[in-house]
Amino acid sequence: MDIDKMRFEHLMVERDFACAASTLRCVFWNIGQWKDIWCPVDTVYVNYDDGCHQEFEMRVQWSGRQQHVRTVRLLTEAGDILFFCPTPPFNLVYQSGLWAFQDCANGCRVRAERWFIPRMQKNQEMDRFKNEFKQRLIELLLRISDSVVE
Amino acid sequence: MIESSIIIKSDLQSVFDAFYHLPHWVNVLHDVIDVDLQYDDGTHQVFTMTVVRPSGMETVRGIRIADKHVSITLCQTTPPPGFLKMHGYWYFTPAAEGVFVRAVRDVKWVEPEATGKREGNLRDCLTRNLITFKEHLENGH
Repeated sequence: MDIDKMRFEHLMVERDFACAASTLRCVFWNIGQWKDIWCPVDTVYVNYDDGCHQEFEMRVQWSGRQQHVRTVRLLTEAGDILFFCPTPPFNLVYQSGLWAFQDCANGCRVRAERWFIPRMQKNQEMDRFKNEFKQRLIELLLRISDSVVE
Repeated sequence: MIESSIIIKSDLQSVFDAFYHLPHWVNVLHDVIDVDLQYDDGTHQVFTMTVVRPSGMETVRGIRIADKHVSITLCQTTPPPGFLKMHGYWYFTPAAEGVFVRAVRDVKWVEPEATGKREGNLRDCLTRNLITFKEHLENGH
């Protein structure tokens, strides 16, 4: 698979948080705690984590079924978290993405971006899938925002 | 940081591809006897590699991320025996005579007291591999 030769879809969601980027970056990196924050996450098993590189397996409830996702993440020198999925969700051929953190006046802004290749071909299915995917990202950012406030 | 570098008289794409395409390494480096590329999307790789060492066979597991024609970043999630951490980079820079390749390793040892000798051995290994890639790319060996 060479993504240069494939057409991939793109999503972006942003949200402001009332805390420092460094605080939030830790919440996003500590993937083992996500099951306490976001209810679709059933289990997380971290295979490797040296603080800059991380590999984990996650079982999540998406689209009405449990899915097994394997993800590798990299913390960049700029403080962003990049990732790719050697085992993406079942309805994706490919997924990569990033969490970008930027301090701003009253806290920080998080930008979530996703690049993916869905298995479905029909435009109607694709539109519905992209909408659900975007809503899921918005919901995740909301849940993380709640957990930081608590 | 431990590093070594070399100039390879070839074009940037050929040099980058030779270092990126891990399954090809068994044809280049005599001590690499098996590569299992579990994932490769053209930018990200997950692999296991088995190499022959004087002490026996070693199998490492790692991830690599490419910035095409610029660099390859390595993290071994299962490093070789004796290493707590093995991170690395290859940087590729066009030069007048070909491509300047710089290999860098950031490591932590299980037994830090023996660091000096082991650093020397690792640097020698990096240099040997760069020379082997150079010979392969320039002469087809």
